[in-house]
Amino acid sequence: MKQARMLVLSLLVAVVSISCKPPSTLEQEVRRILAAAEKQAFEYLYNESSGGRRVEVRGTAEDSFRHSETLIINGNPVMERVVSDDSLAVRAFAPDALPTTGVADPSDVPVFNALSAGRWVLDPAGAPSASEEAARVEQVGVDPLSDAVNLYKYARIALQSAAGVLEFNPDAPGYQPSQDPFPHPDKGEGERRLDLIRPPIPTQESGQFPTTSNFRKMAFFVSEGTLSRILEVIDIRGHEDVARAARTGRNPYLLQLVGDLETGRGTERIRVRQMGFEILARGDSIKTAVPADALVGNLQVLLRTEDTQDGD
Amino acid sequence: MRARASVAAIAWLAVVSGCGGGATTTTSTKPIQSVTVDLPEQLLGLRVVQEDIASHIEAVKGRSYFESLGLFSMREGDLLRATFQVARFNSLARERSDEFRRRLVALVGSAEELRMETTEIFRTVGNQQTVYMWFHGQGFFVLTVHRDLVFGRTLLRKLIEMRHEL
Repeated sequence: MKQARMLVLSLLVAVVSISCKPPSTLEQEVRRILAAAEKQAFEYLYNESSGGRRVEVRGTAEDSFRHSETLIINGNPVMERVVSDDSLAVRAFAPDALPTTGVADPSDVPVFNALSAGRWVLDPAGAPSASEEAARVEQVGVDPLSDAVNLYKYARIALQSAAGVLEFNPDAPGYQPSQDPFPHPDKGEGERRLDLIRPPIPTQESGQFPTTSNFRKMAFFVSEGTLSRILEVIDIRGHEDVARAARTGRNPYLLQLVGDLETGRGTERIRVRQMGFEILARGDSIKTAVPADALVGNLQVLLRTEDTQDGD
Repeated sequence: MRARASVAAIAWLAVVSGCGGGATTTTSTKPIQSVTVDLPEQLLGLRVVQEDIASHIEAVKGRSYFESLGLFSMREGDLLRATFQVARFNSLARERSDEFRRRLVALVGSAEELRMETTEIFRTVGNQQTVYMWFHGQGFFVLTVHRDLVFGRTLLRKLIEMRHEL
């Protein structure tokens, strides 16, 4: 039986990840801080500026399966979403922004009409599948709500791909204020800042394309051992090596590489952006409330552009 | 048939040694018992039946970290939609150790760590099913949900809220 084969296959395949380098004490500390942050319900504010667009997500996360988000683009509220286990509820503030993919005449669809009128629509089985969620962690910028919800996973991936972690110290040899895009920690409040170290851009001899990690600056702000915010800047042209090459013309290979990256070549698409994630509150009192007055309907026709429902 | 595959899998998990990272491998000589869990006959419209796994348990006698095992099928009509596997650790297991837990879970697959209420959930996703695993007390629980069951996470929450004590 196919079901049985799949079941036993999934249970028997053991994948053991092997770490190439032992994590430093500070890396371990960031991992612990992220893990601890995920163990509590929290409210947050996520923002991203990229390509002239500013996205904000105000959200709550009761647990991994119950969360809500409000999407604001360029200062204008666009939509609200509530995910509660298998269900998805959506309310649109900007009906013009509703996707209509796959619908010939959206006005024939009650769900579309309800959303256009600013009503909540609840799809009891509409929550993103696990495979959809997993895919979106790797596709930053496609869905800002997923980017916000998956921020901790994203931060762990960033940590994994970094060359290490450094505690912020403005007195350290080599510290250059002009290359630091982040605010100093508030020492008066006992705040600390832990920065990811960028791996160097691969040389011509290596034959490798740079990845996002080569252009990422990310800082974790920690107060009393608890994560308070994460800031990130991904900048290709602003990278010191690239800026120097552009200024001096001494590294044509790097400039060619940058041109290639900007036209989409490379092993991954690098999204130039500034991102901020701030914890506003935490505690068991933070709950995700499913709207009671929602129209029950199928949101898939409006909110999904392809059938990716493989996995719960 | 499906139940046989499931229990073979959990039995295999049970016998794998070294999950605790210890230098020596010890095994239990006590026979594995069938687990007793209080489950309703129906859950979210699914018919819940405890499968007979006695012969499979016998096959792994003396090579397990579990002292009792149980397998429940959850069917919609004749269609298997989910399975719920329950196991109670024996004294050789170090079920409270994070390392032991992660190594046990890693035998099933590359798992994502999630949280439902205060329970840490390990999730692996396949083409046809999603597997959720969690620990509670001396128990190890595995819920396998077929992709056609659209209320998998609701089912998971119901099972977690039951807080089975083994």
